[in-house]
Amino acid sequence: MGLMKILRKMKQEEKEVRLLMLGLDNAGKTTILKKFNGEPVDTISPTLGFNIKTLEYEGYKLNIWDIGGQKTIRSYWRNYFEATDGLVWVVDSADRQRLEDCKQELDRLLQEERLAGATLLIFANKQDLPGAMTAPEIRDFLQLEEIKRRHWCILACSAYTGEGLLEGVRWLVSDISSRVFFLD
Amino acid sequence: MAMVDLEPSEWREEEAEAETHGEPGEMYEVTPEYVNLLTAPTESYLCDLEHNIYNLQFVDFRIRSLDEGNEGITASIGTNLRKHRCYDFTMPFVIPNTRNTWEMIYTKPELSDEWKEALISSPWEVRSDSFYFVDRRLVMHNRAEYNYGY
Repeated sequence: MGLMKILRKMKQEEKEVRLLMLGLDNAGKTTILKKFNGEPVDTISPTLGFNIKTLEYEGYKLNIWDIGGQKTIRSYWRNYFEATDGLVWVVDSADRQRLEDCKQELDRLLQEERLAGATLLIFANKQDLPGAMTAPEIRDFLQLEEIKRRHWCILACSAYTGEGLLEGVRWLVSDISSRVFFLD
Repeated sequence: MAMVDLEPSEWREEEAEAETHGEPGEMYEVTPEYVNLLTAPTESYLCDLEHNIYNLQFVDFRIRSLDEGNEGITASIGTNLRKHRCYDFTMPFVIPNTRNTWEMIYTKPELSDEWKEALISSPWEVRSDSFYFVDRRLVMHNRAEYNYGY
């Protein structure tokens, strides 16, 4: 396909990005989704299933898939891997007890072939809580520096206050767009 | 397989020509293509409750305005919003025994002031049909009426 044809195609079709948001239960995935969408976040119940939203962001159509993180549901995550451009891994920075569990689940995901091409954003969420670990602390615990074959980034955020969310999505979308839409 | 003996009261002109449908009175199979050709609200349910072999439940349905010209529609498949309006969505994998929400954004048709006035002044006149197909089999049909007068 010639360059002109690609350019023309891009003009016609909306640029769609598929983001898959995963993490342990109670990490704050749904709160992030709702906060980003401008919805109230004071009462969020555990997601037993999925929430899918389509948002417009800087000319991109973001299809965000928030899948429940309860242990019984995690085995179904695989059904949502296909065609994922960006993986958002959400960590409850105040839940030190389950950080090992969190690391194991993330490691498992990073070995998935169908997610091999996905950019990885890690949200060190719940920074508003006292005792929350910092993003560098979580980076070290999760041994993110070991990830070599994938673009990744860890950012501190608070889904409750909204701090850091936009920055994360901005990084994710710009990484995906430079990778998918222009170097294709 | 769900079958109906009513012919859609009006066929979309452009598609009616391409469509080779049978003689009046013949049974029609309710397929996604069939319901897409409907141009008016149905008069009865095209699907029995026992056809919902997957026990799908439609919990709620919310339409909200996002900005000029766009609306978000939560958890709905194939709704006919007023005459000639038809939206098709493909449902993602659903984990058994879960509750899921799904919001789609679509561009709504331009409505003239006359139309808007008509919608507001005629509560419950706007109706929609939602058809749910699993592997092309109709498993659920929901009908709704709307009041824009509030």
